[in-house]
Amino acid sequence: MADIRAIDQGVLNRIASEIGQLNTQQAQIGMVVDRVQTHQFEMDNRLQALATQFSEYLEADRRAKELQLAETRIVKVRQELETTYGHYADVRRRAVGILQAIDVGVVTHETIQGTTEDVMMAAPRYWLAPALVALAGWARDDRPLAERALGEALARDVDKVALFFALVLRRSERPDSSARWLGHFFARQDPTALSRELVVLLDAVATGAFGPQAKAIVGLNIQEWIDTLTAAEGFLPEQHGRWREALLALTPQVADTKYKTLSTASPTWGALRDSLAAVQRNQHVLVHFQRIFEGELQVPRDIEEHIDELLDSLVERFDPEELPLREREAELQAIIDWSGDRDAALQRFESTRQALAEQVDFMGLLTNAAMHAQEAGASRGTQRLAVAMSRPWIVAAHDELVATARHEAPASIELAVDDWSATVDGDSSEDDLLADLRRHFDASTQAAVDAVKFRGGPLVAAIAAPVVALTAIAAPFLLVIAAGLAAWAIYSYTQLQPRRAAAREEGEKRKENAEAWLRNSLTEYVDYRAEWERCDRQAEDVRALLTSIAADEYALAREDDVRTVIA
Amino acid sequence: MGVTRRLLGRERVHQSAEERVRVVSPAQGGTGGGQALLGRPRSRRYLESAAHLDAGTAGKVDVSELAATIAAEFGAGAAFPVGLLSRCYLGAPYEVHILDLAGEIVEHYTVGQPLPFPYAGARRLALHPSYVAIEVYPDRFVCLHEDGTATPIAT
Repeated sequence: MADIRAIDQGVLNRIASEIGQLNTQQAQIGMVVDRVQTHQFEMDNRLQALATQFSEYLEADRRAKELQLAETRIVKVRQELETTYGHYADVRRRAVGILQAIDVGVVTHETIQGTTEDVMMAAPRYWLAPALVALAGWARDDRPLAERALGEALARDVDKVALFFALVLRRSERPDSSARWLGHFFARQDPTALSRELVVLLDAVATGAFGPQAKAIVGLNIQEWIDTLTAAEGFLPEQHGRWREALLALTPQVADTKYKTLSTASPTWGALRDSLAAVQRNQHVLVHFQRIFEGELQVPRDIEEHIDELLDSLVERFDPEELPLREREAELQAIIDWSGDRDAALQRFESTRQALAEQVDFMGLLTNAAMHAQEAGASRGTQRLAVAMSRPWIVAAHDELVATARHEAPASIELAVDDWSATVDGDSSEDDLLADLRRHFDASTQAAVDAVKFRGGPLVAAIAAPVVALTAIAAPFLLVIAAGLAAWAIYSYTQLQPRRAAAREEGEKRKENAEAWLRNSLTEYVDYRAEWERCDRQAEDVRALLTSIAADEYALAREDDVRTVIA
Repeated sequence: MGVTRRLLGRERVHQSAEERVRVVSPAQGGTGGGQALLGRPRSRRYLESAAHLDAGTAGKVDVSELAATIAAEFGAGAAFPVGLLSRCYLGAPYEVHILDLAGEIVEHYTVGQPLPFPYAGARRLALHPSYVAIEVYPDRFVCLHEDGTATPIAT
């Protein structure tokens, strides 16, 4: 028995020791679990914020690389342009100078001849060089040389040479010869594949540089083109799509920083941002067309100056063979302008590329002149003419974009903080939303407080303490263990209230933060809706402006002119 | 359902949303012929009919004239709408009404009351002050402006 008692006592001692260790470990695990529970949402939020930051970092890094690459490449493209086509610029610079020299008569024919022959040698394949030689030959009555040079120039580029001499001869007050070249130029044009020079001609005709007779002839010709093109199958959808793209290219970017809270905390921010950008486009469209029609057209001081401007425009614009490099330059410039945002840049560039395209149909040419006057080489007068002629299609495309923006505008938004979320629309009440949010966080806090209970190790210790104390009759030292267990149980019990208070305090803090966040979100949403509606109203201003344009005012072929020609 | 007003004096036959859509034949609507005509301007007479389906004069709408106006507006071979949706002027609580061309009835809907397919998506457009009424097709809406301009959008 003595042996058995001794064994029992040893086992008991070990069990008591292990229970103590187990209790300690359980208590530690319990504390860890509590801490994990307490900080779980905080961790989630931090992780989410980190993921957002990381994603933003990746995007910023990608943009920075695209920007750097574009900046490097654009330098190379410009160098290639300078190396390959730099001498064209020299010819262009001399062309107007030679014309003025012939007018004024202060430069000898020999010098002019020498200069023109120099440029002829320096710019093989370029139409302007033999055209200048022909001009110099004509000025000094050297008919054989003039004809040979003219033949060479025409072989290089008929359209440009015809237009060049139409302008030069009109400048020299030889309207009959000028009209012949003009007629020659027009007879060669196909309204479905026009060269970009037609914009220059439109400029000349629209501003009266060729006089009423040419204006009427060109007007009739253009009307015929329009009738032919509009009768073609598929014209309307194509024209509609063209204007749709042109107006879409004016869509601005909305910075995420404008509505900070909404942009970071609303899962529907992407749709909200796109919708706002779509209505903000109205302002950009309005400004674009207002600029075209505001103020008086600057009428040139005299016809010679005007034709010089047209000649400048004709000879200084780059040639078709330069187009691929010019397009590349414009594409890279767009990426630089959009700070490396390649997608946005390419969308804008695609619209610009249409303006740079070598050949366009007449309607495309009008679109280019109206929307990308600089790239298309159109003056303000031509821009007005182009808008007036395209007005019905611009209004239709604008109406469709506006109606689509109104239809697709999000009727409600999602707001989410921690594990609370709500759908908010125009009829939502801030008080109701706040009440719902408070209810949610109060319940969450109460659950956290209720989870703090007298359980686990301390509970086992509380039960084990009296049992161990009873067995102390046989082994008095067990009293010490019983006392230790009891002390731990009592200590744990006294910690329950502080822990509950801490959980309540943290819950209240989370609720306060969420309330502040919700108020900010709702304030921003109200501002957003106000801005959206203000921008949406501008769609009607655009419509009013476009519909107020009197097409007749800018028409080329007026009845009086036509009658004059026919008579 | 909303408040139903019978225009032709006969019992309304119940139709499901699908049936209402089905009465528009492929030749008349949907992706069939006549889509190019959707954007052409509407006549003043048609617009006035579309805008004043109620005009607070229940029972006084001349239905035969309205039907003739609509038929004349679209003509043979043109896309034909399932119905028209426009702002209701009967006053609160009514918000919009539907002219169902298949059932030849006008139904009024109150604020917050759901609209049947395919009208539901056009509600906000119908309430927008820029539009007199919205023509509803199976695959698109056409917004009618006061000046007769028609703006089709895909849905």
